[in-house]
Amino acid sequence: MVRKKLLSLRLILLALFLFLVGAFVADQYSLVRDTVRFICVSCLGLSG
Amino acid sequence: MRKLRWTTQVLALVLVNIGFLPILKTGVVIPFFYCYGCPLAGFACPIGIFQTYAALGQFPFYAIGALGLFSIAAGRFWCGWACPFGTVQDIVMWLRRRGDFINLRSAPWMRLVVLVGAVFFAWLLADTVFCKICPAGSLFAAIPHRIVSPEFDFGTFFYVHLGTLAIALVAFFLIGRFWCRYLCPLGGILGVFNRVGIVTIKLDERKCNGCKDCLEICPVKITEVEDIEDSSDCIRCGKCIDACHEDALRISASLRS
Repeated sequence: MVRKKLLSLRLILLALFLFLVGAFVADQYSLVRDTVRFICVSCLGLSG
Repeated sequence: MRKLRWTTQVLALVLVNIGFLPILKTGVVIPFFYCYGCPLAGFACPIGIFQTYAALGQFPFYAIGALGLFSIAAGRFWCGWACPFGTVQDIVMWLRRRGDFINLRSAPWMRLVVLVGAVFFAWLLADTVFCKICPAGSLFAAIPHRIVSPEFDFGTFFYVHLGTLAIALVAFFLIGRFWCRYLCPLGGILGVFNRVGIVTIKLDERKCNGCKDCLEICPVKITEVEDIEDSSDCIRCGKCIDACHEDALRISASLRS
């Protein structure tokens, strides 16, 4: 019973996270990539 | 298993630094602590991304989904086997060549408080506040960035970064895996998934003779053998597996069990 519940929970979570990635990667990937490409120098305590 | 873990930790450190070419700087979210402010970083720190979205007043659906996939796959295995900041703590523990100087109780809630606080203040102040004090950012980004770009001046937060890093290193020396046990907001998320992770550590209670050698060597000071499977503190380093002479502990990878 516990095994079945655990399996169900894992499958539900996997499906949910896959849905989130699949549905939003097109919209949100570029902003995430831009935060990696354009370093927030002020966050590092540097200025110039 | 010890050598294998050191190998994966070194490989992870190499992998996260593939962003030496701009095209290799990706929008892929990684499930461990490495600042994307590092000049060579190729991937995104989820805590930084959560703060960025909170500061913008948006919801990070993609980042949550990506981190969730890593989390459901392996829970805190990422902390023990890949996280570069965890590797730094392992190196400090190896250098001191003795046990913890201070014994503190487990407090998994603190990691979640740090997570909620980081996102809340990012939203409130519309700024990535936690990044400005993050000791991992100090070590992997602020100092390297200043070295490769000497034209930048030191600002107030650079000294704040140096201060938090110094405090963190002292804490690592006194208490093994201090960051992972008490402060890591990412560990707070991954720890929740230790109960449901597909790759996990399993205990065979029929084989266990109760010697507690596994607990003696545990870097995060888990206190009961039965807690190893589900504890959100467990970083899945596998030291307990190496220490067990009865083979009562093993790594398991299964959707069903």
